[in-house]
Amino acid sequence: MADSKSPPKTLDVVVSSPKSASSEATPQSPANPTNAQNKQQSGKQKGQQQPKAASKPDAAAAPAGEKKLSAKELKEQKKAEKQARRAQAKGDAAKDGGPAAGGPEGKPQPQQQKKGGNAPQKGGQNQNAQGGQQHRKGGHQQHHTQGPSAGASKTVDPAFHHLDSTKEVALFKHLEDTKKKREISDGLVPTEGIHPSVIALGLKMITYDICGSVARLVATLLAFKQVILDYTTPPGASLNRDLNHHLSPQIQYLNAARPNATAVRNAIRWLKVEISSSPIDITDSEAKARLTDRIDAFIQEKVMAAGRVIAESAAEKIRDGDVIVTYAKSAVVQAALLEAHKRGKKFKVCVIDSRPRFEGRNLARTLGTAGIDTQYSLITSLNYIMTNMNVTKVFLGAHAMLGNGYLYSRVGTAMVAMMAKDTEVPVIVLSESIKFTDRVQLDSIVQNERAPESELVISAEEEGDASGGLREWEKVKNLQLLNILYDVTPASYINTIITEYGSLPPSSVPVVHRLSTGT
Amino acid sequence: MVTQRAVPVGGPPSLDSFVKSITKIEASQVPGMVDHLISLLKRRQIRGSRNTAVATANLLMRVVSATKWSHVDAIISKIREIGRRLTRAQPRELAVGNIVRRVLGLIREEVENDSPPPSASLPAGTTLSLQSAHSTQGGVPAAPLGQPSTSMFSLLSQNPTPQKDKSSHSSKNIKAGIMEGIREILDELSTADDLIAASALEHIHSNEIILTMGYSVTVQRFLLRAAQKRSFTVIIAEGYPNDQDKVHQVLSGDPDSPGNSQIAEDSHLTFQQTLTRAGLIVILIPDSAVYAMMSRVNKVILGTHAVTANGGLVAAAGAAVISKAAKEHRTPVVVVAGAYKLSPVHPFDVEGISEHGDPGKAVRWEDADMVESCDVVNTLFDYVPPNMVDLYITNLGGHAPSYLYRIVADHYRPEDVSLDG
Repeated sequence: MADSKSPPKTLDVVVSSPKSASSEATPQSPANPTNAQNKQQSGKQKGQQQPKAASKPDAAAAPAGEKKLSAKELKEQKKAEKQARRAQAKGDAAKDGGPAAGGPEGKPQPQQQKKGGNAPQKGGQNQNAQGGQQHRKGGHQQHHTQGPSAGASKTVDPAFHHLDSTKEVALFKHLEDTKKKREISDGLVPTEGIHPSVIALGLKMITYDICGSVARLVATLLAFKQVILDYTTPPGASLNRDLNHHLSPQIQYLNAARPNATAVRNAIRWLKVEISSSPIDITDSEAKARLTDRIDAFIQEKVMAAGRVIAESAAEKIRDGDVIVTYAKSAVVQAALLEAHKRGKKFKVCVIDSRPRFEGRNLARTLGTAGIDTQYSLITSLNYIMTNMNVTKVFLGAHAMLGNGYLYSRVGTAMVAMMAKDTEVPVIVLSESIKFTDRVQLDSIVQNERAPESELVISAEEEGDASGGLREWEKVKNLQLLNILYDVTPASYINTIITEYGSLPPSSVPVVHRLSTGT
Repeated sequence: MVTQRAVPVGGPPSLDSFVKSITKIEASQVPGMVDHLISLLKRRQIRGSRNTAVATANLLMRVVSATKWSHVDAIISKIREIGRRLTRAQPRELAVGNIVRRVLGLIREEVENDSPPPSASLPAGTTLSLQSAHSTQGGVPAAPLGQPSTSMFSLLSQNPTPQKDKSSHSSKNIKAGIMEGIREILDELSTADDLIAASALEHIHSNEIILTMGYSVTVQRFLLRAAQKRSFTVIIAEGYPNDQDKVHQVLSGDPDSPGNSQIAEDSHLTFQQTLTRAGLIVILIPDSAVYAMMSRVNKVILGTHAVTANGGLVAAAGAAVISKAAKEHRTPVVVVAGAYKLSPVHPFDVEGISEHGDPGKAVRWEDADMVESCDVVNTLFDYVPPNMVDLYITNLGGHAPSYLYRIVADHYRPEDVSLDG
């Protein structure tokens, strides 16, 4: 679909050097290395039932910021292990059941080994020795060991278990509540038939380890690549029909972890078309190789190259002496600012941030460390920044560009755009075309995502013992907390959108969407 | 001038200790007390419009009672001088200057009431020519210029009053009148919130969704009064990073905990009767979600730090963005404020209004490495232009922003607007 379109000229330069592009992209997609790491570890730890032994090397390997999550990661690994066993059990059953299935199954295995550290593979060998009965027992043990580890991460949990309907904001009752997320991270959702890499990804999304629609897109595609590699066409079925059925529960699982980002939905739609259009006259391994190549190319083209093109053309728009306001953190905005700095432009960046995620701190740190004149404020100081700092441009990231030209982005973006419009400062949105959608929306309430309310509670460690007034909020009758993730910025606030197709007004969103999807 | 400091003993200096000590001191210690208040203001140990207003009124009452004067100009210039020093100590606490001006107005009024009717002594100056101009235009016979209190002409007739009239009165009578007047101002300061709350039912209907920001005693009382009769929903933006602690604690705090009683004392917040206990549904949102929620909000009710003569606000940081978002959604913005917050000062220096707070509140200790490479700005106040506000509710009633100049004219004498010179 997308590959049938020839990419615009600007893309060619970048696409032709995929190596440099991919090295650029690594910070954008932390999913990539961590995923691999995890898998390797879960492979190594196969068979070990002791959670402590499992968590130790993991914590050491994880970046410093992830240390706190060792309990979560531990769970992740356990999931992966358990899943691996189940998958293997099925594989065994299939092997026993019919020799016909054995044929195609032999092929993916060496491939997996080549990739290195594949959980099902090693787990399978282990299981073979122990036998099916043993395996089921092992599964149960997993469940028991999960109890304490879930308890260990209780710092945020209790809110959800007791959250009754009077604690839900009436206006947002229609949205998927956060209970499902809890159930997933507590291991209460059946993971039958879900690929371990998908489970790991879902858990990372819940904990915001993988956050931002581009990072989620890349991580999802990489996980699905793994799913495809480990997939075996059942007897009597064809890959181009059955693989989509096989993927559906995986997609649903991710969607339950966090509603799929628009970019992810777009990519899944593309992938499904790609799968169903697989030629029927090639072998499974050929079809798989074709699909994984396509996925890699898709990531290269739609994410990496597009991000570079946008960063470059946005950097061109920055002039010496500019004061640029940006909100929270967008990977592509960060890339654009760094690119402009690399080109020797002298400008100042004001990062506006908000509770409870404080994503802007990350951006401010990166920019400041790179040597850019950076200022950090919270959204309450927005009026001061916009009226007194001689702001010349506002750069905003996007979660999605809606069909009516509205911008769907991190909650608070609309206020920044509104103040910019008020002070006649151009608002520039940086967005890859993969984030464009034909969905339309007028307010921030009909469609949104609710994050756990407990994120708003300021913990004692964070603010010292003087604070923490909200710790008991569930017990206060009539008190509700609202923690939404996105808001909708009207098209009238937006001056231009920079995409890999060029700079466009918001009214061109549906045109670009048609162009990029080829519909 | 500075003889000895009448610094109260025991506990950190606060409004209460200041007010207590000021009633006890000798007349000779009054100048020291002025210095003491100046240092309290500078160190922000007394802050907030109401607290600074109460402190100023108490100080001036003591100054008036302790000062002996032979000529009324002496006390006027003395209070002007004190007012100048106090406002310079903390230029953003506009309420200090407001109270000084109110007291100056009181003195002038006392002098005029004591003096014989001005018409007898007035030379045929500007006032009379204006009067005749008026009568020829309107065709109405000019009213006798006997009562100077409410007429517009009286404002213009102030300066020609001959000085010998003032000096001729006994300072004792005037002094008693002034003290009485300052006591009335103090009364007004304590009853303003109740009077404002009395009109709450005229402005809030049942099932309404009200958005407010941060904590404000005036807003809290207003909403509580309405909650007695109606049930509605209140959305509160928490005002991070300066106000969220108080907001959180007022919403869910235990009234008996020692930290909370300190907050209650400092800011006059009521923990016993909170909005949730009054049966209102309270939705707490981060400041970023204001725009998203605004489309469902019926009214925005804001407290304020001060109101400028043109109807603009000096309010907690975040108020400007909230009122702008309200304007975008055609949601009315109601400002509740005691008349003592109404200042005759025009906001010519908007930038100067914005005070910078502790940047440490905007970042955590863990982010120390970030602070090394970038500036952190945390503003405390926003200036909200008058066109963002739809209605003011003061203890005198509800007013359009365009009407505020008239209330300013009622409260302050034009010659006192500038305390300099």
